[in-house]
Amino acid sequence: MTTPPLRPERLAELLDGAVRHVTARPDALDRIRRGVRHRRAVRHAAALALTVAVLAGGGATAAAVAADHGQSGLGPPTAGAARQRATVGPTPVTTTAYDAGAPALALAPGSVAVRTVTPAGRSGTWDIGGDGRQATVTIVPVGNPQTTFKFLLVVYPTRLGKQTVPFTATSVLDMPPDGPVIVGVADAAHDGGQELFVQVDRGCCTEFWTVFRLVNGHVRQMSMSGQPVRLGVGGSVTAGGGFSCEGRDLEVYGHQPGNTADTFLATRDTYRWVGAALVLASHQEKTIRGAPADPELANYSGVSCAGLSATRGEL
Amino acid sequence: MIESPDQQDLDDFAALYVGHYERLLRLAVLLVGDMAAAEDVVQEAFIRVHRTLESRPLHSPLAYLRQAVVNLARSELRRRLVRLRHAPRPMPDAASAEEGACAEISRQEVILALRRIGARQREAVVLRFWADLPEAEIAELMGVSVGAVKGYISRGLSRLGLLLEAS
Repeated sequence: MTTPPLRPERLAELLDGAVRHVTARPDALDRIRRGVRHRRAVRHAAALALTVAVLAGGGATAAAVAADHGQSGLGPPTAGAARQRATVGPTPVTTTAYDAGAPALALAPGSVAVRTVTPAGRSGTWDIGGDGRQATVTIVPVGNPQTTFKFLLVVYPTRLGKQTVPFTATSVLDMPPDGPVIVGVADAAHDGGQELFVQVDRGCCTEFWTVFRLVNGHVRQMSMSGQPVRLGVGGSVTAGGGFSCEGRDLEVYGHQPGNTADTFLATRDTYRWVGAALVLASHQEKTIRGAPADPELANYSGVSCAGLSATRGEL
Repeated sequence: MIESPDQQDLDDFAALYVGHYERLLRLAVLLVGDMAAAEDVVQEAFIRVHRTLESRPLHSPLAYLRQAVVNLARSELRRRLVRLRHAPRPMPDAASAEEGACAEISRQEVILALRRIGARQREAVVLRFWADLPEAEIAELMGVSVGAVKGYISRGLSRLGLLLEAS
């Protein structure tokens, strides 16, 4: 009996399944950048040594110096990424200014040339891990600061050094004047750590927040049903939402017009904090008959989570 | 302090990272079969791209990155062979959070099967059926003819079929 051939579609599924869970380390970009700077420093040192050697008239010495430093033409650099990980300590990463008109900050000696701005809401210092260690959290745009929708959340220091987490948000152009804003922190999961809430979108009346959390020492963006968390906060006259972290679980509220003119459909979803995911534990729906200002409906809107409040302060 | 002159390059580079790092990491995992080596390969590829961008613009940084990943994966496998032949096994590092994921990958049947076929067959099969690249592009990446790529894919597919059936 012959074995049926492996179908290409089946192999594609197997390959995809094998690596679907492979994700980047939170600090991978920092490591690459450290590697880049390390190489640059090595090249500059080698060029200087080469010049000195040539000026001294030692051709053979110059060749040896170049070979030692892995200069192009004489062999590639040999320092592997793994070795760099072992030898290069956490170093401040170059970041981009959000607003060229904002004041520059003083830098620690030895850091790379940087111009950062830290207006309220884009940077702050909190005890994220709940261990008494203060970490500075900064949002950095990737690419054009005005139009990009890709951003990095940079947290430093943590137990594992500097960590960078990519996330997406509405661009500054579409969310003037702020772009993504750090709303604040709260021990929403009641585990002693502090969850970080970041506003990633804002309309006339509703804000959307995402959540970052330390999981096994790694800063992770929380997910809900496989997607990054987006919690709706506030709303219009007839529809709205909010959440509460007062209990052990996260309760997410929402209400919208019902099937008839005088009814509203209110929902309450309960999520468990499981690692970097919010897992749906229960879903409740209730039809409320009454006016938009009905006190019962008010239970299905707004934020009740430590001191967090909507950034516009009017919701 | 003034802004670094190559700030814009770094921002473009970050965009390149955000857009492609994870997928290239997965490609490298399939080619070299373990997470730590794959991370080294992709990290090195990104560093090389950055170095190249410092001296000249790249028409297609992604193609350059992909080529670098394939080449570096080959080098990694060659080095691994040499290490196996000539060096004592090093003491394992302390387990980290990623080690579980690494072990999980190593246990995957398809990864084990990939390790047991020829390197060229593995490259061709992964680039064709996982990266979904056309044969002509794979031929260019591997530095061989399209006919050779077809041969690698055909033989790789049947060998993987046997190995997976047996497992």
